[in-house]
Amino acid sequence: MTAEPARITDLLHRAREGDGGALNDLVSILYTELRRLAEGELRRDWACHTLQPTELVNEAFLKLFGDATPAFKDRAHFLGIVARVMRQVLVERARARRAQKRDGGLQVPLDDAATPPDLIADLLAVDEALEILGREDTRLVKLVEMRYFGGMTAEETADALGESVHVVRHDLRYAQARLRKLLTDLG
Amino acid sequence: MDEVEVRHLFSQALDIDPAERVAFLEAASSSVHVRKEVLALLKHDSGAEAFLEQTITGAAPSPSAAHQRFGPFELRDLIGRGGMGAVYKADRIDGELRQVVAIKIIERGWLNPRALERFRQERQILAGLAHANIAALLDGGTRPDGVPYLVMEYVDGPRLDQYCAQHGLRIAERLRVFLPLCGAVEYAHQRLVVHRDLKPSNVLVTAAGQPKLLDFGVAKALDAEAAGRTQTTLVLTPDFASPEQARGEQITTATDVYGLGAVLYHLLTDHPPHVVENLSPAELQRAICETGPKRPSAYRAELAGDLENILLKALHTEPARRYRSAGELAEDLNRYLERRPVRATPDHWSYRTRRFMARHWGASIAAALAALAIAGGTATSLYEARRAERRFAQVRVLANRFLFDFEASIRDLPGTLPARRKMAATAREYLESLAGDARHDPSLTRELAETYVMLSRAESLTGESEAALRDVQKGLALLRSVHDDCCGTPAQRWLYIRMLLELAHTGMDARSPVGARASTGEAVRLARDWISAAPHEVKAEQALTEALTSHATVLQASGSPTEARPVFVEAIERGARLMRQNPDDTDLGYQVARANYLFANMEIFLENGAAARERAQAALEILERLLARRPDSIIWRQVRVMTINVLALSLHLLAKEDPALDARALETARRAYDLATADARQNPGNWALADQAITMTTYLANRLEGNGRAIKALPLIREAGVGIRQLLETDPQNRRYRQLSLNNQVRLAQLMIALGRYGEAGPVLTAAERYGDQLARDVPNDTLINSQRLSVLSGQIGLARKLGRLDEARERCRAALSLAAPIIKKDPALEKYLQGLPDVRQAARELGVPDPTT
Repeated sequence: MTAEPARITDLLHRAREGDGGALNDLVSILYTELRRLAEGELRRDWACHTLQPTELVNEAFLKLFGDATPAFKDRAHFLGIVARVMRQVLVERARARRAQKRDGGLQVPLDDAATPPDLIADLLAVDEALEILGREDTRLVKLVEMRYFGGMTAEETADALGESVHVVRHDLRYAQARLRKLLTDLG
Repeated sequence: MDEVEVRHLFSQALDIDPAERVAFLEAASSSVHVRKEVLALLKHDSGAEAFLEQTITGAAPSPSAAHQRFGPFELRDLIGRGGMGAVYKADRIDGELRQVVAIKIIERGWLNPRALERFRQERQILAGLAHANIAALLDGGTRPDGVPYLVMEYVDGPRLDQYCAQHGLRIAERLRVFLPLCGAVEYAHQRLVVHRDLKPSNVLVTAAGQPKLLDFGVAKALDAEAAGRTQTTLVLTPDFASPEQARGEQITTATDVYGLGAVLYHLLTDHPPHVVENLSPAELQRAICETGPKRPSAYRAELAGDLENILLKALHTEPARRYRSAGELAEDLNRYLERRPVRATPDHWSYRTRRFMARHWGASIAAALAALAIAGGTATSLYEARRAERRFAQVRVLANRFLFDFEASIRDLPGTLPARRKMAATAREYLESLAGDARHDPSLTRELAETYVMLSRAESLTGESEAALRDVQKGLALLRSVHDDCCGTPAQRWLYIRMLLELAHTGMDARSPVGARASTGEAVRLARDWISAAPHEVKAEQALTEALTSHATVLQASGSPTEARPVFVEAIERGARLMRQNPDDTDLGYQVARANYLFANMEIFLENGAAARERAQAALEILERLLARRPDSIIWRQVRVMTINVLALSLHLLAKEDPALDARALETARRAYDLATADARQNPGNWALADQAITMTTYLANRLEGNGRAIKALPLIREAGVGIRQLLETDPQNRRYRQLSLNNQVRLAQLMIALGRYGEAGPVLTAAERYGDQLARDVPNDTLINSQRLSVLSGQIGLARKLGRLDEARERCRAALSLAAPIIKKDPALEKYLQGLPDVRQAARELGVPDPTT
C-alpha cells in the first residue's frame, strides 16, 4: 500500500484532534512502511551499513510525505507517533531474531548477523523495563521513545509535547535513571 | 515511599553540584528510604543516556561487515565507529605474510560526494605523513561495488587515558607519555595538516608505551597560501571542541594546540575541559566559548601553579593567547618536568576585566554565526530534510537565548552599545530567515517583534532615530498581526503595551511626536482594560503605571501640561502603592523614580519650585537606594543626573524667595555636571550620555552666568557646542540634536552680548536665525523650537538696540510677537516656555510696537 502524502497529512490532523480511528490508520501505515524499510528494501544497497533508527524515521518520513512537507507542529507530532511505532518494529525484530536463534536449526541470514545476541537481549530488556515504567507514568515512556526510538533531541521533544525543555530534560534523566535501575534490579 | 517526593528531589538534585547532593538530600528529606532511592537513581543517571543510545541504536538492523573482503584483507571485528566511518580489524589473507591491519570504511548513511571527498582527502593527508607517533596509512582503494576503504596500521593497545589509568601513572609519567603527541602534531602542522579532532579516543598507546595519533578523518590540509588558516565546517566532539570550532570560525594550528591541551587536561583531571552532558546547543556554545574550562586544581589540588597555567594557556578561549605551536607547549611541559620556570602565567587582572566585556558579547555573536553555519543551504536530500527541521529549532534557540538572556545581562553595562546593536541586528537576521518558514507561528512572530524593539532601542541610543522609529514600527505591525486585544496572556498584553510605549518614546526622540500621544493613550486604555479583566495582576498595575507616566510625559511635551498633571499624579500614586507591596522590585522602583523625576521636570516649567523640589527629592531617594545595589547601571545613573539637575533648577526657583538657596543651586548644578561628563567620557559612542552631558554643561553655564560669572560660562557653552556637533554628525536630522544646537547658538550669542562682545554676537545670531527657520519648516508648530526662535529674535532686538538700529529692533519685535501670539492662544500655560518673551514685550513697550499677546 502506498499512502498519498495528502492522506497522511489528513490522518495526522485528525489524529491530533483526537480521532482514534485516524491514529490507528496512521500507525498501521507507518508500521508497514518502517517494517519494509527495516527488513528489506535497503539491503539491495551495499553491504556495509548500519541503519540507525533516525535514518529509518527519515526514510519513512520522506516516503510518506514526499515534498509535501507538513507544518512544523505536524512534523513534531508525527515524529512522536513514529517513535512509538519504531519501538514496536525494533522489538518485534529482536523477538523474531531471538526465536530463530533459540530454534537453532534455522540459518541466520549472513547480513543479519551483526546484531549481537547481547544487544538483542538488552533491547528486549529495555522494552520490558519501559513496560513497567509505563504502568506508572506513560508520559515518561513517551519521552524515552521520542528521544531514542525517534532520534529526537530534547528540544524537539519538548516542542512536540508543548513543554519546557528544562522539564523535559529533567524528566528524561529521571526516566533514564529509572530504566537503568530497573534493568539492574531485574538482573 | 513517596514517589512524587523522590522524583521531585531527583530533579532538584540534578541542578546541584554532585559533591553537594548528599548534604542537600539530608536537608531536604527526613525519610531514609527516599534519600536512598534518590541517591540510587542519581548513581544510575550517569551513563544511562549512553547505555540507552547504544542499546537501541545498536539493535537497529545492521548487516554484518565481517568476513568481507577488501583487496587482500578480510574484515574481522568492528573496533570503532565515529563520525562518518567505521573501523574494523582485518587480516591479510593472501598467504604472503601474516598482517593485522585496521580498515576504515564510510558508513552507508554518509555516502555522499562530500564524504567521499573527505575520505579521499584523509587518504591523501595520511599518505604524506610518516611519523612514529601517527598511525600510518598502508594502503587504500575502492572495492568493485564502489565502497572506498583505507588500510591503516593496526595499533594494538588501549586508549591513552585508559593506558594511564591501567598503569596508575603519576603526573610526571603521564606527561612523558603525552609529550610525543605534541611532536606528532607539530610534525603534521609543518606539513600543513591540522588534525582538528584531537581527543583521548583518537590516541592509542602501544605495548612499548608509544602514543599513536589516529583518525585524520576530519583533518584538513591547509592551503599554503591561507597561511595556516582554514575555514571550518561544524564537526564537533563537544567535550573537546575548541571555541573557534564551536563558533564556526577559522581553524588554525592553534585549534590543535587547544586539542592537545584538552587531551592533557583530561589525562590529568579525569574530566573533559567542558562537561557538556545535557546541555542545549546554546548552553554548549556558552560553556565552550565563554566560560572556559574549570580550573584543573579544582579537580586535583596538586595541579595548582605551573601545570594549571600551562593547561589554561593551551586551552585559552582566544586562539591568539594560546601557545603559538604544539612545540611551544611541549617546551613548556619539558621546562616543568625539568623544574625550570614555565612561560605560562595566569591572566593579568586588567586583561580579565577587558575579557569580561569581550566574552559577553563576542561569544554570543559567534554563537549566532555558528547558527548561520547550521542554517546555510537548503534542504535537498533525505538527511537535509531532517536537518532542516533541527536547524530551525537550533537557530531559534540560539537567536533567542542570545538576545533575550544576553541582552538583558549587558543592557546596563558601560561600553556595550555597539555590541548590542550588532547583536540585535544579527539575531534579527536569523529570526527573519525563519519568519518565512513560520508565518503562522504567533510565538515566533512575537519573538521577531521583540527583536525589533531591542534593535530599535540600541539604534536610538546610537542616535539613529530614523532607523529606530522604522524598526519599532515594524515590530508593532508584526505584533498587531497576532495580537488579540481582549484575551492575551499577561506576557502578551505586557509586550503589546510596552511596544506601544516604545513607539511613543522613539517617535518623540525622532522627528516628531506625531502619533506618540495616540500610542500612549492606547497603552493606558489597554492597561486599564487589563486591570479590570485581572484585578490582582501586579504586571497589569505596573503596565498602567508605566503607561500613565509615558502618557503624561507626551502630553507635557506636546504642550499640554495642564492635562499632564492629573495623569502624573495617578501614575505616582499607583506606582508608590505597588512599590510598598513589592519593595524588592527594582524595575518598579525605577518606574516610580522616573515618574517623580518627570513630574518634577514639568513643575519646573510651570515654575512650581517647591513642588518640583519635593518630587525631585522623592526620585533621588529611590535612585540612591537602587544605585547602592547596582552602582554601574547606566540608566539609573542617567536618571539620577537628570534628577539632580531638576533639583538644582528647583533650588534656583526657590532662591527667588530665599537667596540663601542660590549657592546650593549652583553647587547642585555642578554635581550634575561632574557626574554627567564623567559618565559620557567613560562611554564614548553612547549618545544618550553625550546628550545628557551637553545638557548639564549648558545648565551649569546658565547658572554661572546668572551668578554674574558669564566669563566662566563661555567655555562651557563652547564645550557643549563641540559635543552637539559630534552628535549631529552621526544623525543630522535628529530633531532633539538640532534643537540643542539652536539653543547652544542662542546661549553663545547671549553670553557674548552679556560680555559686551557685540561684534561676535551678530553673526552667531544670524546663523541661529537661519538654523531656527529651517528647523521650524521641518518641524512646524513645535513650541520648544518656536521658543528658541523667539530667544534668537530677542537677542537680535537687544543687539540692535545696543547698536542704535531701532528700526531693525522694531521689525524684530513684530516678528517675535507674531511668533508668540498663536502659541499663547493655544494654551496660556505655554507662556512659561517662551523664555525670550518678557524681554521682547519690554522692548515692544519701549519701542512703541503694539503687542497682540497681552
